[in-house]
Amino acid sequence: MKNNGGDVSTNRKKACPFNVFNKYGMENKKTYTLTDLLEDEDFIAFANRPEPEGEAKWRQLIGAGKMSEKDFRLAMFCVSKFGNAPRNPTDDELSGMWAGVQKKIRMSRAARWRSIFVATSVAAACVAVAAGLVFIRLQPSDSDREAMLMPPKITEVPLPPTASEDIRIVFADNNCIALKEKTARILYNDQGVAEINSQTIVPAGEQSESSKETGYNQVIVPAGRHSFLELSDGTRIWLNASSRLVYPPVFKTSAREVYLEGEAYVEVNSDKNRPFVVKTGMMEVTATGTTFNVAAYTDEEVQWVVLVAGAVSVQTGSTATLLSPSQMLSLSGGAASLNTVNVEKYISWRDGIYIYSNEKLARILNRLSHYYGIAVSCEPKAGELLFTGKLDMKNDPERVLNGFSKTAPVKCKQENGAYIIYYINP
Amino acid sequence: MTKPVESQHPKLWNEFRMGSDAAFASLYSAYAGKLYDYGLHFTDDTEMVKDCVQDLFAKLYVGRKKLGEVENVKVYMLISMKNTLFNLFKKEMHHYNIDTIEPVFDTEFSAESKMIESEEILAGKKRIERMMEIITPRQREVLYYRFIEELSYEEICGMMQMNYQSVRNLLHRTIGKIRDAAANEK
Repeated sequence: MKNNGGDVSTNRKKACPFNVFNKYGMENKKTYTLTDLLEDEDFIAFANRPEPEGEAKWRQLIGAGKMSEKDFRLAMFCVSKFGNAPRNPTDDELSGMWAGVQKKIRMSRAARWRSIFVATSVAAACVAVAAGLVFIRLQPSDSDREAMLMPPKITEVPLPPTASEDIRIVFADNNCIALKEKTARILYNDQGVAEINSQTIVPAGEQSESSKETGYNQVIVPAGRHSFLELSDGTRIWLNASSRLVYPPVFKTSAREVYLEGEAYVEVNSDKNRPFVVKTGMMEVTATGTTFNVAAYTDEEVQWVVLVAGAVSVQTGSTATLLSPSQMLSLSGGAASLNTVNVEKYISWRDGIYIYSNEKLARILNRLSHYYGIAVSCEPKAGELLFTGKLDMKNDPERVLNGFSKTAPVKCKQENGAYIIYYINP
Repeated sequence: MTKPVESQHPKLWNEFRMGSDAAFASLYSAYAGKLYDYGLHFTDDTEMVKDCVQDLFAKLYVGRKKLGEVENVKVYMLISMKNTLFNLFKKEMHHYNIDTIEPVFDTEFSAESKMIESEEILAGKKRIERMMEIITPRQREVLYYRFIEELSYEEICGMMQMNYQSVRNLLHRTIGKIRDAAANEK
């Protein structure tokens, strides 16, 4: 099959031996017949899309006695005779055909899977799974077309509609598992099957081969909890409180991509051919095999990445920054800054220790409220105070909050289940 | 008088090759209707044409990583459609084991517009109309590419597997037939 090169319009000019109007805009012949018009591509374009301006141009030839009205009308007729009767499919037919395209794509995927399985003599049961594909939506509306080929982009996977105080794991088929435990340990094997707190989870709905490839799972960690995940590629992720991670049960062969809201400590399992990308609202952190910490809370205006070991590239808008170990890239209001930091301070949360230095109280409290799942607020004047220190968050929140009043002119009160920090004039 | 939308299609094509599903959906929206209409010029079997359009898009999607750059997406799609359709014809022929003739290009003409025209022009139109019904499928096909798809001679060469001179001759002869019909005062 030939891939036609070049811009269409230049092709046309080159290809067409006739042009009633030559490049100087002048007529290059004395008279024009029906044949001349039908061989002229400008005329055909005009006949298909008549415009007053074009009409005037052609009629001017008639006025000058160089072309007959009859030939002009007949030429118009010849072109429109072909052009006026397209048999377009109805919108319903178009949608139906689109659903058919989806089906054929999935069938060919299933066929591919099937042949791989047969070739490698892997359990026949897998073939049954592949053959048992279910197609859910067969009548998409026009606007659904983009959405249904694959689930929404990883950055646009919706949250479950309801809030919950449990750690929740949502599967591609929208089945949801809620855990009452303080922490969750979620391990995926390389087939995309999850084991949650030592129990193998077989989702009730279909978890077909194709949905594993195209669907996303997500873990939602509420305030006061955390989770540990091992993804299908062996990458280990610690999720801090008030965080959400979206990921495919099995990564595609070409890329590894997850979406994060909140904070995560990531140990990427090395795979040079498949970079691991953590997407957040403001940035994309790309690594091949390394350890880093990303904080991207949606209710905080600062997002940052700290590199523990290896190398990562951080894409923000159109610029990419390469980080070396112990470097932190922080983003705030579209501005990025690169600093060398004490890494321990940023990753100690995994051990329940919160280290802070010269940090505004308001920010510290915001983190505490994520971590404990409690409501904490402070007077603006108190919020501006800077603190340096270390909090052991295994202690109960009251004790931690009261700790502030020992070193600074603040006082902690509990009102209606919320903690409020007041500024006291010293 | 060029069609600005089509100039965006190479970009769309590249986005699609790089894995954009949105671009794939846009290509479908841009071409499914056109390919359906094009396919119906070869057969009246609407189900078969729909099947071909679906096959074409599914194959494009599944093999998208292997696709090359295409500067003229429209011609690429039309050629793919024609090939898909002819392959299906061949398969079906084999399946039923009957001697079917090759699909040929056919055209249904639109109804006459109700413009008030001179007797002379009306008579010319009638004669052209009658003549167009009896031209060969290849002549019909070349007029379709030229008049409707507005393809260049080179592009038509690709569509009809003919060399440049043959395409020129075919088109020239076909237009000559139209001219003769229009001039033929009975």
